[in-house]
Amino acid sequence: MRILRSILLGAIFSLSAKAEPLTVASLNTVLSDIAKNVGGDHVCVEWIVKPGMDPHAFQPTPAAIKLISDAQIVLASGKGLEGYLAKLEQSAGRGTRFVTIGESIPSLKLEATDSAEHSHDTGDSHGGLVEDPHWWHSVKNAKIATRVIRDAFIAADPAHSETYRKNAAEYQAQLDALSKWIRAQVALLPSEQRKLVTSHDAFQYFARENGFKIFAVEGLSTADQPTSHQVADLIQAIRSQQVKAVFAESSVNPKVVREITQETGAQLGGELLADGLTESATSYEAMMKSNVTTIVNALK
Amino acid sequence: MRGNPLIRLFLVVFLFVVAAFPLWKLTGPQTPLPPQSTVTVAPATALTQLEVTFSQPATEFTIRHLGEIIWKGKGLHALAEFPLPTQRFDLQIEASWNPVGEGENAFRIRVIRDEMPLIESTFWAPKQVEETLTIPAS
Repeated sequence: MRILRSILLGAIFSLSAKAEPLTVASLNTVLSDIAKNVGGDHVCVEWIVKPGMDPHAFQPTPAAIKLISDAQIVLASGKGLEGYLAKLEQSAGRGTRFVTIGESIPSLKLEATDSAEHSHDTGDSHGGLVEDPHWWHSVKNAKIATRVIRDAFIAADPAHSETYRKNAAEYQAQLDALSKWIRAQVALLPSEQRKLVTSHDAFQYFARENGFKIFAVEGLSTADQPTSHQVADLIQAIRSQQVKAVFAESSVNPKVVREITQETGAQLGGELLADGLTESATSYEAMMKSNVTTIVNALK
Repeated sequence: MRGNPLIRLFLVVFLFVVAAFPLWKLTGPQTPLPPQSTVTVAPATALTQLEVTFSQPATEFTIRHLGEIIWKGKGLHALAEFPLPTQRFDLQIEASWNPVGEGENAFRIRVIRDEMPLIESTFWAPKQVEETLTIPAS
């Protein structure tokens, strides 16, 4: 009888241990959303960088470092966005696996401003070029991220591999539908009107995919500040190219953009979500739809 | 000699008033410039052939450019010519069929300029195709 009871207890214990969800800490709001969709009930995602936070300026607090150290998987954006990543990897325990999504995504390389070279510490900045870290503005890249996250979850928790595969396939179908919707919206703009003036240089992946030309006020990081000479050049370019609208961003002070609209007579086109999810756009799909709607409505 | 305090006060106020206008002009908000005169140059276009072919006769197909329907028809095959931009442009294409069985239907489109194909694509669907086709600059 005693043996039977201990077998039963053992079985209950092992079942409850298996039911514990995979713990994931995410350093990027887009990755948090993808992880939630792929992981479903089998994954507990800690949003270390929360919606509305500026990931360029984020530094992990001691409480965040504790959450990261306790996690089984840490999702990082990479391409130099998290300048603190190397130190974080050193301080985390051996049980924590870091998955840097940007390593699986082809890089766009842009000319660096001085401050951009400093603010993207781990980025590749050889020969005055830095990696653009804003890969999530391409749906193709979000699909790659989904695949990488799926594989990381399967490696860490093979018991639920079928669920992760099924969830990832469903999410990729949603991303295909989103990509189709974006192309249909952008098709309403003639190519000579696809000129995007933004606060900081965060939309190059989007531009490459959809045939836009970018004029950015600031560099790759929100910490970059334009010189008066750069602003004057930009004003000249906006006038000569007859740009209809200039866009502010949720994570950047809109003062310079307002000044440019006053100088050029271009409209303030609205606010773009450059650096991830916000309180109003709580999913990747909502963020992309908000940006595309804002851009197309202002430039039509 | 110390002057009359009232006169000194008057002089100080006078100086402030005199200095206020140029200071306000320098630091005050600028009036927005009127939008630039929009001498919009029409984008260059060239006659472009569109050729559509279906595996089963389409009950209807439409081709849109910049949201406007430029071509509408039905049947198995059609060819027409339109002035379209020489720069990159998008065409939104739609086609529908009366479904026959479980199989998929094909919609093939060729975009030809100066007897050279710019793009050729085929889309598959059982009942309806809705796609955006990007044509590169020629």
